[in-house]
Amino acid sequence: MRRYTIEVGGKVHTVDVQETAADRFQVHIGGRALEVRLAAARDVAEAVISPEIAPQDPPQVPAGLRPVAPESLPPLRPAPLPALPPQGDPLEASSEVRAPMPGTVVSVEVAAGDHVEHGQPLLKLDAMKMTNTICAPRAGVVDEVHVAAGASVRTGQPLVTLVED
Amino acid sequence: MEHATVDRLLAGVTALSPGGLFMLLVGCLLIYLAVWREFEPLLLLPIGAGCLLVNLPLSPMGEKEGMLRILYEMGVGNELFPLLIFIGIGAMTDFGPLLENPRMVLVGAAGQFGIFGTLLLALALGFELNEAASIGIIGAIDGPTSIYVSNLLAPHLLGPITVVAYSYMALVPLIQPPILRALTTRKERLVRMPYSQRTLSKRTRVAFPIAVTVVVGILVPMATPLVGTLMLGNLMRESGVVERLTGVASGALANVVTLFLGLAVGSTMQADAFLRIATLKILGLGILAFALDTAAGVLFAKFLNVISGGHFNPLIGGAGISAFPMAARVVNKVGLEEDFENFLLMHAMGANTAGQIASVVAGGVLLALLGAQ
Amino acid sequence: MGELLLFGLRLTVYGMGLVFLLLALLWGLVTLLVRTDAREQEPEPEPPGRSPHGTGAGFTPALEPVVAGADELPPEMLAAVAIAMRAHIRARRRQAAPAMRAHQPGSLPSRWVGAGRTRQNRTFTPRGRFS
Repeated sequence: MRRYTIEVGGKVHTVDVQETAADRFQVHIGGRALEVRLAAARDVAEAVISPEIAPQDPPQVPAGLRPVAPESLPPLRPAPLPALPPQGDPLEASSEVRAPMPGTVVSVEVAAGDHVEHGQPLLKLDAMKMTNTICAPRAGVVDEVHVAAGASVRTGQPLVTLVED
Repeated sequence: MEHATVDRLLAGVTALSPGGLFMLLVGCLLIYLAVWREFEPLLLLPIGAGCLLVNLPLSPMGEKEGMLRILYEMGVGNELFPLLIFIGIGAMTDFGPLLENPRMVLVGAAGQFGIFGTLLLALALGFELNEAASIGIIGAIDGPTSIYVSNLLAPHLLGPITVVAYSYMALVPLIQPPILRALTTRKERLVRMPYSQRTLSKRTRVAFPIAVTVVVGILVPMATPLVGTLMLGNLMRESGVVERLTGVASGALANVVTLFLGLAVGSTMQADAFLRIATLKILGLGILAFALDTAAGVLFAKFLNVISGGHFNPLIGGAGISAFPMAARVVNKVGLEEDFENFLLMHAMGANTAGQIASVVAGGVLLALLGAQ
Repeated sequence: MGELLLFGLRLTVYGMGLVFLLLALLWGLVTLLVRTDAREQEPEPEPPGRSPHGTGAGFTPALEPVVAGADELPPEMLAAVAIAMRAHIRARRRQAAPAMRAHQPGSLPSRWVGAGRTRQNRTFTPRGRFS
């Protein structure tokens, strides 16, 4: 059990977390005990990888010694991030099959773990009262299906994640 | 039994005429197309039934006090029914794809060339100007507009024009693909157009029908009835506060009026009015109107493709007609045949709804041009 | 006849011109309508998943915690739960805690073992080598 003190929007929460399995946790917050499962954790944007530097007390400098370098160095800044891919280009994304138009998922033809060929139907999407078959843009293995039948999707929303064999 | 009594009893049989028999066959053909081929069954079935009922020998249905005559006077002669149907169409149509892609409006304009092209051809075939114009309006590919305009310009051609318009509308999935394929290259059909969804505020959705009505109404007063009713239906739909009215307009009212309209139009198909060489010509000109619309739309879209530097799929031009939503589906299907990932549906829907507005505007313009003559 | 055709031609030119003109006007109108919309939506904050600058600790921003019994948990509490959970996973992983293992120890062979097993299963043997 570890205790985390987290500030959200100026409000301080004390959260106790106890893991029960790799993806299951028991969380105590605000006097309630919750069963939490981490369903997914994916990178959707370029995350900043910064070295973790724990704030420490300033080092004890023995009296009489003076640093040669100036006291304050310019702070390190992370390099500017590459621009995010434009939103209007949903089909370009690498392994996500995205919704080409808004609509409702009629049926999902594949399940996670299935091997799919180029052009194999993945799911059926109903848009403007017309059923469209979304096919696999390349061969691969279905890593994850993000939607279920009956879900309504927006343009560019990920439907299925494909990975290489 | 007296001779006169026998005559009276067999009056129906003795009154049979070859023309009447032929029209009975035509009525049966329309019903067959509606029931087994599912060609616009909602309209062709009542039209076929109306045709049967009015052409039976000595049928009282089409006489002065007959039901079909009453229906005709009630809503077709005075243009009421097409307008009521337009309210229903407006209540069913989502103009979202058009609002997200406003430039599609122009594609809808190009898709109206069939009206004027057919008008020219009809003039060349020797039709009067008002007749030619009402035949041309088949090129609006919009049932209510055709009925509205042709009834104002040439009421005696209403029957054939309506039947031709609705029959070919059912044939859009057969008429369009060959034209689309013939006029585009494979490279053009492969042009992908990513669809970017905009969030439209309710204010925009509500303001759109009002703005269109006011602008079109001021500029083309003749189009006010058509645009006004279409947009009234859409306003009711988008406002979201009169769901009961929207439901009735797009459901019960539209169904009732469709039945009445079909029967009334069918009753105009009387043998002496229908069995003329003009009907055959209209049949031929009608399919030309559809083809010209599609071709003009595609050619204009090719022009847009050149301007945009190859980022506009010319197939979309084929959807710039009013046949909603068949044309958009056909375009989407032809695009998918070439590349299963190329979904043109939303763009085509935008062009298709633009075609609806454009056909109404074109109908008004035509009326204004001929009225001013 | 010819005169009539000429009139028809004029009608066509006027008609198509008018239709195009009107619809171009409509185009402008719709664009204006939509633009006012876009301007209003601009100040909307970026969705959190798109913001690359996280908490600075380098957490992956995409989190979909499934919380049982969280019927009316306010969003900030949910956020706190998610952050705490992620931090917890990191901490435990750094400790190499057995609970964080996704696989049984030894269930995944090392690459060397894997290569050896593959060779054993291979039926084709190049002639003259590896008797």
